[in-house]
Amino acid sequence: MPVLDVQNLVTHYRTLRGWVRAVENISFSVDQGEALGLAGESGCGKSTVALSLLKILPSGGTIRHGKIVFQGQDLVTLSESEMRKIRWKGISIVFQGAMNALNPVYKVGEQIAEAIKIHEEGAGSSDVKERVAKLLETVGIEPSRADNYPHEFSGGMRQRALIAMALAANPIMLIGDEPGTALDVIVQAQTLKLLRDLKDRLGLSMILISHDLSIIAETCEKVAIMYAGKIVEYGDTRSIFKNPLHPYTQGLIKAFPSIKGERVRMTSIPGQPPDLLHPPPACRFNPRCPFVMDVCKREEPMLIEHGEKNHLAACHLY
Amino acid sequence: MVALEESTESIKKDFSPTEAPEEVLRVENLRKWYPLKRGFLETVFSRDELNVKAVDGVSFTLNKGEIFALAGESGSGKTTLGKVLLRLVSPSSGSVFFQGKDITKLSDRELKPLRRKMQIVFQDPFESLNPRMIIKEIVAEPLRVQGELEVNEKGQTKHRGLGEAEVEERVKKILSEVELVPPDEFLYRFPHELSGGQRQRVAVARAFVLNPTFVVADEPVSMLDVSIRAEIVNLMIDMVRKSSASIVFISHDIALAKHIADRIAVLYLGKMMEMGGAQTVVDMPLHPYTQALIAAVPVPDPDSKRTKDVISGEIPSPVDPPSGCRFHTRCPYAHERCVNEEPALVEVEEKHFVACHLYD
Repeated sequence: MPVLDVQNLVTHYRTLRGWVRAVENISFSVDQGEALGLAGESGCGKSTVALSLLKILPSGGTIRHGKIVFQGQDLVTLSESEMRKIRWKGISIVFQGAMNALNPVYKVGEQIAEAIKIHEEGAGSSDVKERVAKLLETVGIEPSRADNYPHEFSGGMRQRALIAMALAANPIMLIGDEPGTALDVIVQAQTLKLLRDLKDRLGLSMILISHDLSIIAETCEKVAIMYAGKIVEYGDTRSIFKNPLHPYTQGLIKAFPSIKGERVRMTSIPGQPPDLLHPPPACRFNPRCPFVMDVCKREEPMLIEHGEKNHLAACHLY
Repeated sequence: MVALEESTESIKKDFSPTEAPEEVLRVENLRKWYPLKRGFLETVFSRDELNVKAVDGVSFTLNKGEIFALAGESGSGKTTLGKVLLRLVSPSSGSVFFQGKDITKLSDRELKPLRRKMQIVFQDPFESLNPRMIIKEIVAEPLRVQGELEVNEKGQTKHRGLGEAEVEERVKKILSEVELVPPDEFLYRFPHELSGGQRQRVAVARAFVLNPTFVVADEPVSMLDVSIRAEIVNLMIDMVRKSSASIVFISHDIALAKHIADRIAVLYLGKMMEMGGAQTVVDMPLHPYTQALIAAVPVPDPDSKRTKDVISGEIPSPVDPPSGCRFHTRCPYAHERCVNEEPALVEVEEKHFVACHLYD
């Protein structure tokens, strides 16, 4: 049984101009010790998925339909106080922008200790201190640095400290929302290596959210490619990268400059992502698709298996 | 018949491979140090001045019609270098020769006629366009400020202001060149009505409307969505080919630099570590830092396992950079000489320069 099973999730934001259809009917699952990559451009709804899982949507955001089954429990029906027991202990999140996520006036160690104390009532102070040291060691920071303030840390260390904090209550699942995006390429590579190590060492289940397909290719076993609030392709990482089916996935993979191989003229996907207040009818990618047919404007394609096992695509071409 | 012969002659001349490429910009030993602001007591009790050594002794030449990439991590000094090239900031020492003149020594007044030939495209098209100006005014502003240069019968260049009709015509022309078509539809719109990609096209139009000799593009696509980056990059390449301008392309993304630049220079803590042809530098990097930088770039292929381990540590502070070779604190091959002696940038292979003791 998967650790997390999301079924037909619909999350919209209420605005003065109507509902913004940020996440429209998406389903996916994550097994124990597995990493799922959620990929897509900005505004495709990938961060909204993460916020929905933890039910920490900003005001106006509502889960309008669907189930989020985490360890057999449907999170959508839980009350706020029940949700508090899931956050950090069950699912915990590392946000993007490591520079701003720590409180500048508290020592890093204190901030991690706070997370432990809240989630484990009655933990002794020497006990907590030991745990903080151990957590910092896990993410590769010298435990003596617990007494430093965030400004004394470099960008990469702050990101590591945030990961340590996310691990404070021994979560079952870790969500990384663009971890490393604001960091330099070498530090980013260090951070991703750490996440991979942690996943293997602690048997964590992971959801990695990124616009960068190559990061996901290197870290995740499974991928969901999102476009305009929907999953357009879903399945085994190897199969999707070797044989991308959906025209959007194909375009996205080609749009990345590769460090290997000959110099080529880069290709882009013409047009721009749609306005989610009024998304295009049927297949949402149809205005930008090079292979568009009449049926694409009339009927919405289903996300179904094509050819290989565990490789689903939502496209009328197949 | 004679005329025809003459014209083929001139084409040969222009494209003759033996001829040395025409030099647009020559940078010599450029330094930009920013003094560090300190408290009163610190200033009283410590004598030595502290400086952020953003650019510390960089030399190179930029050729006509070339795309020259400056690659490096944040804090490597690439943006500062770009600004000094345009003299948006004045260097602490060193020279930038543009058309034979050292622009670091010119007054603002002497600089103004040169400014029309040196333009910039900024990183963020959401910040770099005035939200209260319509597209026509944004693109027309350089034309209004700089006017038109004309050569009279005596061979003197004369400055001439442009009439309203002429300005509009020029704006329309450049908008269609950057593929904002039909231009009439964009003239009277505000930046917020355009998408990120369209805005960056407006920024490119503004930079190229005066037919510049060189353009500094400071991370022009890093704020854009992946699927539209290629459009802007290809547009800039096309503009260069059409106008034979040169571009200094600043990018943290060395994979992107490989595909669009003719040459790449890798910067680290204000120093140039390696410089050479784009394909050569990326495929056969010589400097250990370049090797580490390239090894850290993720590859969109689940089967390619990274061969090398990621180097540890982060870029040190430019206030107190390491002695000798600045990379020695993180270099897997560092030896004693690297700590004490600074390596010079030397030509190891043809047109491939490296600053590393492993090669001298």
